[in-house]
Amino acid sequence: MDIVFRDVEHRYQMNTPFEKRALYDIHMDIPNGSYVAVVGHTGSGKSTLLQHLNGLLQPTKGTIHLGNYTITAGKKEKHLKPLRKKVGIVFQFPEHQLFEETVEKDICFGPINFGMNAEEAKARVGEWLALVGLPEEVRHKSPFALSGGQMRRVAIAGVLAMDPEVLVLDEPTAGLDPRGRKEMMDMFAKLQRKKHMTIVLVTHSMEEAARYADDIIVMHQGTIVRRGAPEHIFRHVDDLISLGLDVPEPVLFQRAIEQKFGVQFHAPCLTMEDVIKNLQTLFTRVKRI
Amino acid sequence: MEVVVRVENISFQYVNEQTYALQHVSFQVYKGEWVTIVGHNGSGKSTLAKLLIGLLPATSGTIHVCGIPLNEQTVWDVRERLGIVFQNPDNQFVGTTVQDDVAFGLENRGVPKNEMVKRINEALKKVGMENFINDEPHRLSGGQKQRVAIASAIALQPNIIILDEATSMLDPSGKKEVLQVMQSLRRERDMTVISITHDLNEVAKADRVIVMNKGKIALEGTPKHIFAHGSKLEEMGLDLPFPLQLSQRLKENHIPITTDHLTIEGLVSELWTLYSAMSNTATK
Repeated sequence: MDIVFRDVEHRYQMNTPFEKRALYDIHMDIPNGSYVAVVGHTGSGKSTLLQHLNGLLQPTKGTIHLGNYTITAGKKEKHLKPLRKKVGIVFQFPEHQLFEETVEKDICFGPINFGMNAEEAKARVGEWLALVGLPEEVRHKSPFALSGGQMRRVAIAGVLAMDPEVLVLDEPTAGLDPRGRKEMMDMFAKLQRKKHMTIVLVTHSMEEAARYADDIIVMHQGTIVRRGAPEHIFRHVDDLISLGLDVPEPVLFQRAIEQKFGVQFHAPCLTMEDVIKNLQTLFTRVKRI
Repeated sequence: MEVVVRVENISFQYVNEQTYALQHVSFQVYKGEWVTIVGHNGSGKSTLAKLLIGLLPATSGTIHVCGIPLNEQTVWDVRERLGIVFQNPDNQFVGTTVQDDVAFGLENRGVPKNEMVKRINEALKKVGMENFINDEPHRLSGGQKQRVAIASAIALQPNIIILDEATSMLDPSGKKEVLQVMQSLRRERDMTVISITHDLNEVAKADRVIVMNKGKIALEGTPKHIFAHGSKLEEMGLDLPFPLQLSQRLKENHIPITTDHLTIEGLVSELWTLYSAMSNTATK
C-alpha cells in the first residue's frame, strides 16, 4: 500500500481561539514495503503526522492517499474502518491498553472486532504469539502478570493479528533495557522481510533510525525539513544538533576525529565497523609516509 | 563519610511468586553521592526503590535511612528524608496547576501557609519552572513535567532523591534538563542521588554503580571498574558505552590503545598521541 501526502496541513481546534497549526506543507511518499523512520524533537508534529496514517486525524488542508483510499480535507470520511485494519498503529507504551483477562482474549479482540469469527481467531493465537517471540505458555495467563517487555509484545501481537499492510510504531522501545530494545527492533525488521510490510517508525533514537530505516524523515516545528537515506542525513551533523536531535555515537566520534586530525572521511560512519575501517586507513597511511 | 542509606541483607518476594525478586541485598550510600543502579528489566531495581521508600515491606532484612530504621511506624519520617521521581511523567500529578501539585506533599505534612508558599516558589525556581506556576501540568512537555515532579520532591527538603528511570520517557533535551537540575541540586544542597537507569552516559558519570542481576547485586564499584567487566555485563543484558566498545575493538584490530575509554574525548586524544608518535617515527 503506497502512502502519499500532498500539501497536508492539520490545525487543532479550528475556528476557536485555541486554534493551533500542528502540521503544514507536508509532501511525502512512502512506497509499499519501505522502512521509514520519522524523527524530530518533542512537539515537532510526529504524533500528529502518524495519526493521519489511518484517518484517526483528518487533514484540515490537502489530500492523503492510502492505497485505494483518499482522504481529502473538508470531506467527512465515513468508511475508514477497513483502512484501520490495513494500517496498524502501535502507540507509545501500548501495554497500557491491555485490558482483557487473558493474553488470548486480548489478542483476539481486534480481529473479532473486524469480523473474524472467534474460533478462527483463537486458532491463530499461536501464530501471532510466535510472530512477537512469545511462548505458547502465556496464552492463558493474565497479561498483567507478565513483565513489561512481554506485555508490550502482547499488545503488538494484538495489532499484528489484524494482518496490517502498514505497521506504524510510535517509540516502540521506550523504557526497555538494551537487550529488550535490540530484540524488539530485530523483531520488526524480521516482520518487515517476512510479511513485506511497510514500517513507519517514530523514534527519538537516532541509532535505531540509522541502523534499521532505509529512509529518514526529519520533522521540525510542524513540517518536514530533511528527507533521505541515513548516509545522507548524517552527513550534516551540526544541522541535526541545531534541530535539537541526537546524533548516533559513531557519527559523533567521527566528527571528533575529523576535527582533531584535520581530515575528512568520505562518508558518515553509521556503525562501529565504519569507524574502525576509517581509522585503519588513517593509521596505515601514516606508517607509509 | 556519613552513611545516609544502609541496606542490610534485604530479601523480597511478591505474593504468588515462586522466586524472590530480591535476595540478600546489602549496600550503603554515602552523603552527597550519585549512585546509579543498573540491571535488565526484571532484575529487581524498581522493587528495590519501592522498598527504600516503604511502598513495599521487605520480607526480611533491614533498611536504615539517615539512621532511622524503616518500619511501619517510621515510614513517614523516612519519606521526609527521601523523595522519589517515577518513570512516567503523567502518572504523578494530583494538582490541577503546577503550584497545587507541588503544594500537595506540603499540605499533607501540615506545613504552614507562609512557609508553604515560600517553599513552592523556591522549589520551582530551582528546577527552572517558576514561570509555569499556574499552568496545567498535562500541558507541559515531558521534561517540564519531570522537573515539576522533582520540585514536588525537593519542596519537602529531602536528603536523598531516588530517580526511578525518571528520564527514560523523555527526549534527549528533556533528559538533559532533568539531569542538569539534579546535578545542581546535588552541588547546592549536598543532596544524595540514587538513580535507576539504562542510560549509559549517565552511568559513566556516576560516582558509583550497583549492577543488579536476578535479584542480587552482581557488581558494585566505580564506572571504570564496572565497565572493565565487559562481556560479563553483556551476558546480563546490559550495554557497554560506545567509546569503551570501540577501544576494545581497535585493540583487536591492531591499533594499540592502552586503556578502555569511557569518553569519546579520551579515546580521540589517545589516538592522536599515537598517531603523532607514529608520524614522527615515520618521518625520521
